[in-house]
Amino acid sequence: MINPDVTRTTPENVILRLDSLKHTLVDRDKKQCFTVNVAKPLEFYAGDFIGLLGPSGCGKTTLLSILGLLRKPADLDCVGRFELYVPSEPKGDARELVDIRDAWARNDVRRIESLRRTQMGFALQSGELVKSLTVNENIQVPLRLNGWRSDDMRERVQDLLGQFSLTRHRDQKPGASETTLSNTLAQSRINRLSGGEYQRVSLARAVSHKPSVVFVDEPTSALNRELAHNALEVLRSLQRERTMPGITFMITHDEELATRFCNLIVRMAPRRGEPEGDVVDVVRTECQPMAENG
Amino acid sequence: MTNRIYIELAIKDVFRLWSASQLQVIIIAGICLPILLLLGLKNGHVADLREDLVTSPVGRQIIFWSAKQGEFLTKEVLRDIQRSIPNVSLIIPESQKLVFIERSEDQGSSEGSSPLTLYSTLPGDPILEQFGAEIGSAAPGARPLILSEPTARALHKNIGDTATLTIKRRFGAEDQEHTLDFKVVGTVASGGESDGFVGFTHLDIMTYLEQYGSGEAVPELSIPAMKSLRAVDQYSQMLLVCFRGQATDLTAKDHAFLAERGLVAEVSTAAEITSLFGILKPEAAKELKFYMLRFSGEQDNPQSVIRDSPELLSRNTEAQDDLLLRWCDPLTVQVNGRDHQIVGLTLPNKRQTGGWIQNFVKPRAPWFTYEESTATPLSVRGAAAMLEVLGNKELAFTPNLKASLQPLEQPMDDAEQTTTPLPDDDAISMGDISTAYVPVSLLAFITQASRNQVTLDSESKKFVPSSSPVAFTKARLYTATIDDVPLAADLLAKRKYAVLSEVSRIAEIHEQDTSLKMLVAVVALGVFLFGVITVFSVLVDSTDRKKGMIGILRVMGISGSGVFFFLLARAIIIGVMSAAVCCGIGVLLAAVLGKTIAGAEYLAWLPKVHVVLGFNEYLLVTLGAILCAVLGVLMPALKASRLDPFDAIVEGQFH
Repeated sequence: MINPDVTRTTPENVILRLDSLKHTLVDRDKKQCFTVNVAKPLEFYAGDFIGLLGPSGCGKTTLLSILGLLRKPADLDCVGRFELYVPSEPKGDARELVDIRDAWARNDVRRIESLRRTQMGFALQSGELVKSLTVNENIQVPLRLNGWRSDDMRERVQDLLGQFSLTRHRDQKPGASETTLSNTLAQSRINRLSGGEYQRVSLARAVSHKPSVVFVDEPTSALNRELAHNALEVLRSLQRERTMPGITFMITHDEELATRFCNLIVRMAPRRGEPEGDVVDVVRTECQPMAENG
Repeated sequence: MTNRIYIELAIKDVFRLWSASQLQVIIIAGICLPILLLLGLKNGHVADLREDLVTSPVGRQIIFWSAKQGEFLTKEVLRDIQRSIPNVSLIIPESQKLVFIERSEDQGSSEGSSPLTLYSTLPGDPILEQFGAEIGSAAPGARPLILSEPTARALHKNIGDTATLTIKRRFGAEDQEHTLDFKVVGTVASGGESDGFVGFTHLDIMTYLEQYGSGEAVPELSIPAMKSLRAVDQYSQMLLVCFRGQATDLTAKDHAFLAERGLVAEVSTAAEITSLFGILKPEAAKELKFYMLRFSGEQDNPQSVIRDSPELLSRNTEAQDDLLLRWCDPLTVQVNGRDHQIVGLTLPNKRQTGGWIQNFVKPRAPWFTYEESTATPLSVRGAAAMLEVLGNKELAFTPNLKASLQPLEQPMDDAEQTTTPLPDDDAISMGDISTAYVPVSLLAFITQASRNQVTLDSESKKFVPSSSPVAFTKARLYTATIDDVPLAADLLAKRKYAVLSEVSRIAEIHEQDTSLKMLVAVVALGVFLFGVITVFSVLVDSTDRKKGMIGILRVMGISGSGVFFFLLARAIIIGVMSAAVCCGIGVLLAAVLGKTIAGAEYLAWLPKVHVVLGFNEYLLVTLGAILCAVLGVLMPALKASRLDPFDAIVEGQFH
C-alpha cells in the first residue's frame, strides 16, 4: 500500500518543477527537426511515481533528457521555471532550490554534472551496465562516485541485491544451500546475466545512491509481469520510504503498469502533420494498491 | 578517490575485456618489437666491432714519443702524464737491449751463447697478459724473464728455469762483460723462429742495463763503474787575453764570429782578472787586454756550455796571438769562519801556443798558499791533495760536494798536473781573502759536482758523470677502455708528442655507432608514426565501441575530463602490457638468434645474429609503447570526453 501522506502535493514537497518548455531537436544528416512542447506546468512532489506515456516518437525520451539534465535545452528563452529541490548540505534534512535554468544559462557544467551524479539515477531501456564490472561493482559505481564509505557501500549493495532478488547463486540447483556455493550472482560479470537480471541490476544501480529523481525507461521490458511488478514495487518503496523521499519517472507504453504504479500520469502525443510532440495531459490519480502477488 | 575509480575501471576494462584489449596490445607490441630488435642488432654489431679492439691490447694502446721537442721521457715526465690524462691504466717506457743468452752444451752452438733482444715490460702489461704471462715484481735480487715461445723452445727453457745472460759494454778501449742469472717466469706465443730470440724483463732491470751500458756503476747489479769512465769538464765562460794594439786586439769581425756562437766578449778591467788573481806582473795590466767571453741573452747562465775548444776559437779570430783560457768563477769557501777563494787556472807552458803568457807570470810567485796563519803552505801539485785538505775542513760546501770530495786520495792524472803552474815559496794574498790555485778543470768539476752533474767515483777516485735519471725515447700507454683512447691521444698530441694508436679505428666504430643510431632512429620513427596511426584507428574504433559505457558514465555524473582520464589510463596500461610482451619476445629472440640449436642441422643455414639488449633499450621501448598508445588514444579520448551524455547513450544503445 502507498502511504498517501508521502505524496502530499504541498509546496514544501516539490522536487522538480518545469513550467514550460519548447525544445527543438535538429537532425542535420536527415535535415529534419522535431520540437517537444511542454505547455502545461509540470510539478513533481516527493514520493511521486510518474508515468510518462505516449506513442513512439512523440518526444518522451527527449523530455526525459531535459528533465534528467542530460541535455541543455536548445533555447533557454523558451524554458519557463525549471527548478530542482535537493536535500540541503550538510544534514540533508531540508531541501534547497536549485535553479536549473540559471545553471544552464551560466553554462555551469560542473554544477549540472554534480547534480546528475548526486541527485539523479538512470535505468535506461537497455540498462547500459559497465561490461567490465561485476554486478556488485556496477551497483557500487554511483556510491563510489558520491564518496560513500566502503562499509556503508557494502551494506547498501547487499540490501539492494536482496530487495531486487539478486542474491541467488548462478549455478544453484533446487535444494542447494546458498552458503555452499561461492559463485554468487553479485560476483558475476554482466555478460552472464539474463535480461531480467540485467534490468534489475540496472534499477538497483539507479537507486543505489538514494537520488532525488530516478528516471527509468521501459524498465520492465525484459521482465515477466510478476518480476516487473516486484521490481517496480521495490523501486517505488525505495524512493518513497526514506527520510527524504524522491520521485521516480518512468517512461512506459504499458498502460496497466502505469495505472497500477504511477500516481501521476503525463501523456504526450505527436501533433498531427507536424514534427512536434506535446505534453497533452497531466493527471494526478490516487494510485491503486498493489495487488497481492501481482 | 575519484581518480582511483578511473584507474580501477581502466585496469578492469583492459583485463576483463581482454578479447578486445589483446588486439591493441598485439598491435603496439608488433610495432615496438622491430624497433627493439633493431636497437639490439645495432648494439650487437657495435659490440662485435668493439670486441676485436677490446680483447686486443693494441686497441687500448697508444705509443707516443716526443717528436717536436725531442726531450726524453723520464720517470717524472711519465708520472706527470699518468696524473694529467684520465683513465690511464699503465705506461710502459719502451726500452730494448741486446744481451747474450747462454746455450746449453747439447744445443750444438760453438759460441755458447746467442743474442737475445730484451724488451721492457711492467706488471699488468696487456701485451703479455693476453698470453697469460705476468712479469711480477723486480724485488732486490729477483730478475724475472719472459721468453717468446720460439726462444724458449730453441733454448730448452721452461718456466722456473734459470737463464744466464751476458751483458757487455765498451768505453774507449775498455771492454767489460758480466753475467746475470734470470729466472724464466713465463713464455708468450709471439714471434717466430726467424725473428731471433726475444725476451721481456721488468723495466727496473732494463733501467739498470741502460746504466750499465753507459759505463756507470750499477749498485743494484753489484757492478762498479768502468775504469776509463770520466766526466768532461764544462765551461760557460772563457778568458781571452791578447796584446793591446790594432793587429792583436779583437776586431769587429771577431766579435761577429763570436756572436754567431751566441757569445759576447766583454772587456774586463777588474784587478783580479788583469792580474789573474795576483800571479801576473803589474805590466800585464798595461800591455794586455782581457776579455771575458760568455753567452749573451737567455743563454747566459751557468748551465750553458761552450762547445768550441779554445784553440778553435783562437784560430778563427783575426786577433793575433790571442790566448783563450777556460774559465770558471772562483769558488769562495769558508774555513774556520774565514773566507777563502779557490781559483781555477791552467796556463800553457812556454812551449805551447799562448805560452808567451809565462813571460808575464811573476817569477817567484808563491801561488798556492792556503792559509797564511799556518806554517804549512798548501802544496797543490795535484788536485787530490787540495781536495783532501778541503775535505778535512768543515767547509761550506754543499753536503753532496763534501761527500764527493772526501774519498779523493789519489792525485789527478798527469795531464792536469803538467798544465798546472808550479808552486813558489811566497804566498799571494788578495786582501783578506787567501787564494788557492787549482787546475781549472778541477774547479770545473767541483762546480759541476755542486750541481750534481758529476760525482767522484770511489773506485777510480775520478770524477764521473752523475747517474742521470734514465730516460726513454718512447713509451706505450694503456687506457682503461678503448673509449678513453681518443681523449688520451688528443691530450698527448696537445703536449706535442707524436702519437700512434688505433684512434682512427675507434673513431670509425663510434661513427658506425652514430650512423646506426641514426638509421635505427629513422626506421624507428617511421615505424612508430605508422604505429601511432594504426593504434589511433584501432582505438578510435575501440572508443567508438565504448560509447555506451562512456555515455552511462557521463549520465552518472562523470565529467568529460574523467572520461578522458579513464581512456588515457587504459591506454597507458595497454602500452605497459605491450612493452612487457615486446620485451619478453625480444629477450627470447635475442637468445634464439644468437644460438645454434643442437640437433637442428636443418636450421644451420640461419645466420647467427648478435643481439644485445640492455636496460636502456627496454626502457626506450616501454616509453615508446606507452607514448604510442597515448598518442593513439589522445584524439579519440578528447572526442569522447566532449561527447554529449545523451548522444553517447543513445548512440551507444543503437551501436
